[in-house]
Amino acid sequence: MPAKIYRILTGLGLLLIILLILSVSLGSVYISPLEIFQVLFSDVHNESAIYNIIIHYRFPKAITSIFAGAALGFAGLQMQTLFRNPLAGPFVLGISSGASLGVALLVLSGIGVTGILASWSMAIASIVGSSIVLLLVVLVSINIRDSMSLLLIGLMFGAFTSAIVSVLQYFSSADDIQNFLFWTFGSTGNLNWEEMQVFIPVVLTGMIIGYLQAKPLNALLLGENYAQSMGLTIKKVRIALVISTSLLAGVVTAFCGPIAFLGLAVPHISRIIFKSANHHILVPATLLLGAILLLVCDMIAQMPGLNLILPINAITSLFGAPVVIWLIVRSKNMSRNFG
Amino acid sequence: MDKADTIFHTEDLAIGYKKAKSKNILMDNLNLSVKKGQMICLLGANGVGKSTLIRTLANLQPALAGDIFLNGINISTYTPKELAKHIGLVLTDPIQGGNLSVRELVQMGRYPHTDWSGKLHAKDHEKVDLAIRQCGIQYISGANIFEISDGQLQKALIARALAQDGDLMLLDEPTVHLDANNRFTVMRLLKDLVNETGKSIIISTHQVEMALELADELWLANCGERIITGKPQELVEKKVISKMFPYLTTLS
Repeated sequence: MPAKIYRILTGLGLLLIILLILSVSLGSVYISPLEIFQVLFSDVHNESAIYNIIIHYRFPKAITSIFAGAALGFAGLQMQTLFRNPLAGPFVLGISSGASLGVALLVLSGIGVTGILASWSMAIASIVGSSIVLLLVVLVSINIRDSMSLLLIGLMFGAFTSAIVSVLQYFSSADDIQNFLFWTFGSTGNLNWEEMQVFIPVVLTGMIIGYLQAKPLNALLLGENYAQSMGLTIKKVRIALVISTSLLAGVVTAFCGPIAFLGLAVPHISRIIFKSANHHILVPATLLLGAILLLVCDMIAQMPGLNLILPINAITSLFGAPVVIWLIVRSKNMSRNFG
Repeated sequence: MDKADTIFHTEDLAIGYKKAKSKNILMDNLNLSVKKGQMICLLGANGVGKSTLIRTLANLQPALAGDIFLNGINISTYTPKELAKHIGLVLTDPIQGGNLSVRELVQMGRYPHTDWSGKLHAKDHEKVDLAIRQCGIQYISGANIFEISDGQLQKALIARALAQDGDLMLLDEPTVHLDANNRFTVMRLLKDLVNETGKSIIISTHQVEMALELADELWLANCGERIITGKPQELVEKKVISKMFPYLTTLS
């Protein structure tokens, strides 16, 4: 790996740390970095307002953004290489639709769960929904060798589950529809520390499974036949990638709602910045860039001076889409940028 | 030639495609053998099953019947990684891995020789350098693979298969899409590689003249008939060539 790559990666790492501090200090109340450090590193168990804001609100939100962004970016990279398709992303497999279906069944059926139970049951419902779709996709992937077919089947699963959600909405009360819509807006601010104890280990597991596939992902750049001729067992790799992506995208969707666009865009931005197809470079690149981008979007969503928090889903698309269009136009040909 | 030289052979191999209940057999009763240091050209019309044969021999698709042996051992008993250390491939599949340099492409050949991280050691770099030199593509080794010509890409793909360092290379129409000059240089390169490295090479091709001139053995595939094998000279004398490729005589 050339020294230049290390320099860029280190630079992105530093940027991430600065953004983390910024995102904790910015918000409806400004908290200086000094105060943040005082709260974090003093032994006094302080129950002040600032302590509460930092520990119970802003830190979980920032950490969630970092892990969710990294997870979505990495999941997108895996899918794009596996399907050799620039449009592939974690949601193409129907994982987010499956999650939406789970949440829709819970929320729109009118079972009135409130309070602390609400977020947990929502999370479980969406994990169940996404893992059912995951299991179906895994079953199909065992029998179908062709990635394009798998991609289309993923799209069909997505269309099917979305249709069920639409039908459910038609029969639901206005209040239930509103609750469901709030979930679809996406938010990284819904997690408390207990939920983080589920969220972070699942994300890390997905990342480790995915990173172990960095070498097979490189081989897949040449297509499945070449990859197989180099000693790679396509089925094994495909199952590992599907499990990794589903864990990453599934758990993020469960806790943060379906965050659009990031999984698709981050791998492209990484390829353009690092001018590489090597997954040993692209994996850390997508992790860092995904984390940075979602953190920035999150900061924009809770812009200081605004008394409201905008849906993060709108921000990711609003600010991200033009950036990606510009990058693609600049690089002229996107399809050659990946395998 | 005694049997000890044989590194690769098939026993009653049948190739083709299986659908739910019916089988589409393209060739059967194949008893082919490859000796060390042989350049074999597989000739035959479009659709006769050349690519299918190459793919079956490379274990990319299952045989309908029969067995394939590498160094006397059935290839189904090899792990994919072990098999990859013995057989290198050049296919007609389009390569799109953009952002890959020629050198990185050739390095992929070391895939079965490296651990999970894919880290290349001094020996791997040596093999990569050697393959690049043998194919004469040092001058483009830093270029991106979408910047180079079809002929250069084909040489890079051959270098990748060489770096894989097997005893056998299978090439599916390596000269397709190339102009006359490049067709010649690629075939000549393959012949030189056989002479230099002692590897065995099976090439499917439509270049009858070059095959007659360069191959140690020809495999002639005809629809519905058995593959005819033999040295080019013998096959010409037996009039097999002129029967199968009548245009050759009218051309010359």
